[in-house]
Amino acid sequence: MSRRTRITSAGDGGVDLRLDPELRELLASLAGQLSDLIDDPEAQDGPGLARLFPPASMDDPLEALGFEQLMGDALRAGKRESAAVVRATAHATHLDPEQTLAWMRCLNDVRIVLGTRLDIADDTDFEELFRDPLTEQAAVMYAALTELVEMLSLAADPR
Amino acid sequence: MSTAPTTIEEPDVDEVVEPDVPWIVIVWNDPINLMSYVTWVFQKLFGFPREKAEQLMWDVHTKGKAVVANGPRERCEAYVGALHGYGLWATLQRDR
Repeated sequence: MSRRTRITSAGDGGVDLRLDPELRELLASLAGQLSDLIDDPEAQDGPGLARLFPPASMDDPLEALGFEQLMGDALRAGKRESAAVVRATAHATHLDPEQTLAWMRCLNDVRIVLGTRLDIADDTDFEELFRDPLTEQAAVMYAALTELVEMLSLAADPR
Repeated sequence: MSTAPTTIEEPDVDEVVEPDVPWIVIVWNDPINLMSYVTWVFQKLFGFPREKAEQLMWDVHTKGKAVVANGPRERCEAYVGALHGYGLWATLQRDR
């Protein structure tokens, strides 16, 4: 990622952002793709969405089903809403606390989808992912999002 | 058979099982969520001080899972929903 990337705490509990315009365009695009994926009926059984909306019970399918019926729509709406905030504020230099929260959630959700597709494990060799033409692009985006979520987590005030 | 105690022992507070508090929320380790992010979520969602949030995050990371909340079923479902909203892998179950 560019050395010009900087995310710092702002006085109001939000953050100030210094990011390349190209990175901002990429984030807006990824947020839009995440929204599309959540609404794509063909993608519902794919591993990325399965990890975004995991079963709420390890051993009780009925409990998991009940939870999905109870919470599923609200969870999808929340993730869509966070993605919409990222798209709307992609070029902002300051995020208020609510917008900061939306950025953290949405960029982390994109990491989860990309990371699941890349089959990220604790011992993943990233150099190999960067070298392989089939995974290079996703791996570069995953690494950039990892750095952004890390910076946001350190800069944003959790109170 | 043991002899009857001469004094009635006070139950350990931690061992008292409240009949209306039978559910727990578990967060599971995963290779994608960052330690800094998980710590932040625990602070934000549960209002934990940083030290407690970090300890729970380490428990998740090193032991594979940690109990982060307990209480009535509805409350635990709401916490699991909130944790899924943050992209954490959380489940609920009866505290057997």
